[in-house]
Amino acid sequence: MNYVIIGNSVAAVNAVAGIRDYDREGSITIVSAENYYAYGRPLISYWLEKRVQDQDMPYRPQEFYAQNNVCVLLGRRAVKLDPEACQVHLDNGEKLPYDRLLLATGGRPFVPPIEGLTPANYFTFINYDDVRRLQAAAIPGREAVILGAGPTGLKAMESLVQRGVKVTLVELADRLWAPALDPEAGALVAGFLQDNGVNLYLNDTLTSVYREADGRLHLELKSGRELQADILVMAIGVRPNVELLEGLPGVTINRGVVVGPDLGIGLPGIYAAGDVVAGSPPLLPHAAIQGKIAGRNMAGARETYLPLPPYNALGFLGLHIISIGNSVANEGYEVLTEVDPAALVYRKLVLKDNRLAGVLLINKIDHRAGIYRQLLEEGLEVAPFKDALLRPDFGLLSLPETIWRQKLAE
Amino acid sequence: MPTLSLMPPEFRVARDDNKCIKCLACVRQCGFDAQQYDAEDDRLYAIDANCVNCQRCVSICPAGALTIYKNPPPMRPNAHWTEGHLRNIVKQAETGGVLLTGMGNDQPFPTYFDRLLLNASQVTNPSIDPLREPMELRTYLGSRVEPVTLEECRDKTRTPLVPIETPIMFSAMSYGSISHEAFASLARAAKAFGTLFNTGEGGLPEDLYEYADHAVVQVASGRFGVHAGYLNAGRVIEIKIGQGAKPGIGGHLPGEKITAPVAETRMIPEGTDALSPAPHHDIYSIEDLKQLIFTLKEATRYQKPVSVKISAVHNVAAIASGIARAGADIIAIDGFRGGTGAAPTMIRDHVGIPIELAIAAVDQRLREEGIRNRVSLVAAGGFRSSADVVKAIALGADAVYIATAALIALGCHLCQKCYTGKCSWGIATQDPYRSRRLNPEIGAERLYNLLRGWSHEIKEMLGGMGINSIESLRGNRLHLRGVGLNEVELKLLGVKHAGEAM
Amino acid sequence: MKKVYARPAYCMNCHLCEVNCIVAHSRSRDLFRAYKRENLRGTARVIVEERLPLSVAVQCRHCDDPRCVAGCISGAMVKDPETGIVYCQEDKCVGCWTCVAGCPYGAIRPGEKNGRPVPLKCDLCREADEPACVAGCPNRALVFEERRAGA
Ligand SMILES: Cc1cc2nc3c(=O)[nH]c(=O)nc-3n(C[C@H](O)[C@H](O)[C@H](O)COP(=O)(O)OP(=O)(O)OC[C@H]3O[C@@H](n4cnc5c(N)ncnc54)[C@H](O)[C@@H]3O)c2cc1C
Ligand code: SF4
Ligand code: SF4
Ligand code: SF4
Ligand code: SF4
Repeated sequence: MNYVIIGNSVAAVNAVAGIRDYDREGSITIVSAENYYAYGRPLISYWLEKRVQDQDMPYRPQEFYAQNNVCVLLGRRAVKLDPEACQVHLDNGEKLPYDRLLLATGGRPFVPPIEGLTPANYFTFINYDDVRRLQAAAIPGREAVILGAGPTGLKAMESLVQRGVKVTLVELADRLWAPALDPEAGALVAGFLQDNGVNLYLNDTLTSVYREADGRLHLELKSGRELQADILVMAIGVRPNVELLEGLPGVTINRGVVVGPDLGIGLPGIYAAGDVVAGSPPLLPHAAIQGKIAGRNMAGARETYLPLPPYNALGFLGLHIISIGNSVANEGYEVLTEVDPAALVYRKLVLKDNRLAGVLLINKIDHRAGIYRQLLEEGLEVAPFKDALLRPDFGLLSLPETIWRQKLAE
Repeated sequence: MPTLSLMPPEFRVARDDNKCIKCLACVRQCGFDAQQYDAEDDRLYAIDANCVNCQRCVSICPAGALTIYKNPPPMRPNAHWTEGHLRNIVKQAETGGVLLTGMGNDQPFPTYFDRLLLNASQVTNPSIDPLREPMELRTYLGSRVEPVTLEECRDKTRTPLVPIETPIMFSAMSYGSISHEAFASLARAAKAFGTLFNTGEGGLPEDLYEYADHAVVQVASGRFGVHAGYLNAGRVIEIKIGQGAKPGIGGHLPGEKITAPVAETRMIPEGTDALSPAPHHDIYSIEDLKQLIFTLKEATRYQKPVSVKISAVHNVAAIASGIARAGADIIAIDGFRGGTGAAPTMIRDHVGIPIELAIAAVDQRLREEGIRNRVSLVAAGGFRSSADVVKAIALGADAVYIATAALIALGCHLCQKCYTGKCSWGIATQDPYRSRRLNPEIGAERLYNLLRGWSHEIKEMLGGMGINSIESLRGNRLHLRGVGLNEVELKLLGVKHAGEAM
Repeated sequence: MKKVYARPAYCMNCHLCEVNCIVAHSRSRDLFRAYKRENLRGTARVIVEERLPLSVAVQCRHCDDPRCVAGCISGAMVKDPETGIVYCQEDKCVGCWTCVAGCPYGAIRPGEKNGRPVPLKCDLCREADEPACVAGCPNRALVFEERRAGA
């Protein structure tokens, strides 16, 4: 069996493990546009602030590829997919035949057309090369504007602040990280950032940019506000890398590629996993789990991927947030909260029909987060122990006895 | 409510802060709320007045940071007005109640076992090495009247003999007075070693019927948990008349200890006090006793030997003779050191006689009357070692019951607070938080080890005397000598003084 | 694989498993140094949950498809393919706590050691024959055994 994987990140590496669970023999080839062995993509912000060094970037040890007998084509891009011939065309003209193919191409930063915006005057924040370039520019005392205050923007903010750069966040929504933080939590986090010297402009966006004679950037916002900056980072989202699939009959693209329960894309032998998949939250656990399942299915297993709600742990400048599922919801839901603004604590559980629908934990984060996530994913009815959910002693033993007994026996 | 106690605490809890790692194990394990933690200040402290010196905290502390000290006497030392008396008086002045206690008589009466010494062979009648030669500890309990006539041979009312692999059994401790865990430990160990445990007067819990074949099932004045199935399941039936720790009085298990499973086993409503009357209301004479003995035998088709348990009191020999004649197969005698889950202190400490004297008197009397072989004689009450067991058998017992020693093996530290139901060791309690501390798996192993150790020692002692079977020791008082005993004592015990030859 | 299983009927809430765990994961392997010099109080990788009279030691189940490993953004959390033990290469951890949100049993707590983030999770005392919590449990409320073939 001849496996080809396009992309060499979280989904790809986990797919290798998945394939090898069932097939120790088949040949595996990875096509990697980036010139690096897989690294922890989210580590780029840690690298930029020097909390992680080059040698700790690899996502898997160097031996991983050899041990799993994988051939990696670094710095090679797949440019065309020919499902009729079962071939992938590479940017050097080579054609790779495959029996099973995995698209693990992830996403790329979304950069909208903005007056004056050229690749020369902004940075993106998605890969190793991005931060290597940023490193040279991020000099203490300089000023940076980050467009987008979602997880990527916030991590970029953190690393720049740690490097001594003065940061301004510009966000179109009425609050920070709007898909995860409700207005109250957003205000809490905004206050925290401001206390840490970060400027925040909400309900606003960039309308034009140009470089002034002194080399600095001049930015104009929709509100009419004008800003000067040395660095502009675009962090307003990612778009799945689906260009290889565009126009192929039998494939549905809905931003990402639409997959079946087995993670097949509708063409024989072709699967997709990770950020490239339509409707999948662009998060690392999801990419990893999909990669593993897709890999196993490519090797003949019949595993099903049940779409997982998003869950994300995000920390910056010492503040920790875990959001799970629909953590923003208020109206039409039952909401349990524990709030202590002085300690920057905000804990919120969102319930619908006595089942957890969302969880938001700020600063008081402990092992219970995982139990909440599991309850939410399993859709377990929490009515019998609802009162205990936010109590400091909530735990496995709060669940019905048959359930905790069974869990402990696993 | 008295506001001020005139008594300073009896014990002082000392914590070495240099060692204490603040793990709080002591706080979680103290059954008497003496160990406390103040979370706000992250500080441990002790309420000394609550401490009963059960040593649970000391044992559990991973840092070895704890010591319990006995406080100096609360008043000027006085040989007549001892600390015990003073504390009792003050307690009663404060509460107006009957003093209660647990475990056995702890007063400094003489222990005759400590005044008796064993013999050993030298040169003639060589000693036996139990590791190389067979040594028989198996003991048969029951009536061993030799059939003489054909009639007697066909007698269907002869109950079978019950073998035990060592002359040591576990004495009666009822489920309710001790935890299910402790009870189960005894049952498992008895089965594993091939001896018997005794259900006590609280019945046999449903889930332990698999051990019934190793159970002496008791029938006491309260008749708790007694039904045909129970009687037929046991190996021996025992009618409990008296108990060494509280001769002449009944039992009282407070309602708090009558939890649902205890209530079910005892066949009484949950939460009600379980009162055992002082006498059996249907036994006022030896004839009445005979009726009950035969009722029980009839109910079990003469398949179960019947034992009658009495406390060792002044007239024990005559009573025992009556019991033997009433058709009992076993007589169990409980001496004044016998333990209890709860007894009035004055009764425990001042009623009854030493078991050593009782064994000697009963054995002597039954022999004189020619009925010794009609019954097995089981002695109980404060057996502390294999040497005590050997001496008791030499005095005339067939086997012994141990209870306190068994509980000590399970963890009991003799704090004597059994009656509070708060036992820190999970033994004398029905509180599931406490009782789960005693894993019956471990409990049974420890009891098994104790039986094994004692049995081995008994073999060594027998071998030393040149005897290869425990049967040959029974009543063999020539192997005993007294030290520091007066003429009357020597006569009653039927032994010569040390230094006297055969 | 051999795992630690709790027997709640016998857990007596002493939390000594936590103490033994802490010592086993200290630099000194000494009770007093671990607590008094290394300041490791509260860093146990097993958590005794209390719902008195019930208590039970909860720890990692070393899942077949571990969520903590899947979620780890740095590749620090791994499942040893030989032994099945899930453990964290602690010097690679950046403290994002995705693993914490991932563990279905609540078996990982965010922790800190020498100023570095450490996910406090059971590693079955990888280098020892028997996990410290099991070896030290005074009431055999924890057992280390193989229950499911291949698991
Ligand atoms: C700064 C940052 C911080 C993040 N932090 C977190 C976090 O804390 N928690 C979390 O859960 N998630 C986080 N994420 C998201 C997480 O990194 C992604 O969900 C995950 O990396 C997706 O993995 P993937 O394998 O699907 O795709 P990607 O990681 O995007 O990898 C796709 C790879 O495919 C390559 N590729 C694309 N097209 C081709 C082609 N045609 N030929 C060859 N190669 C190609 C790309 O160059 C890329 O290397 C973060 C992302 C970023 C950028
Ligand atoms: S556990 Fe026992 S010895 Fe320790 S303080 Fe409590 S009562 Fe006293
Ligand atoms: S058990 Fe020992 S170490 Fe733990 S808190 Fe008590 S005294 Fe301190
Ligand atoms: S050491 Fe054993 S008994 Fe004590 S808390 Fe832990 S599991 Fe329970
Ligand atoms: S820490 Fe949790 S998720 Fe990870 S292997 Fe253990 S039980 Fe599974």
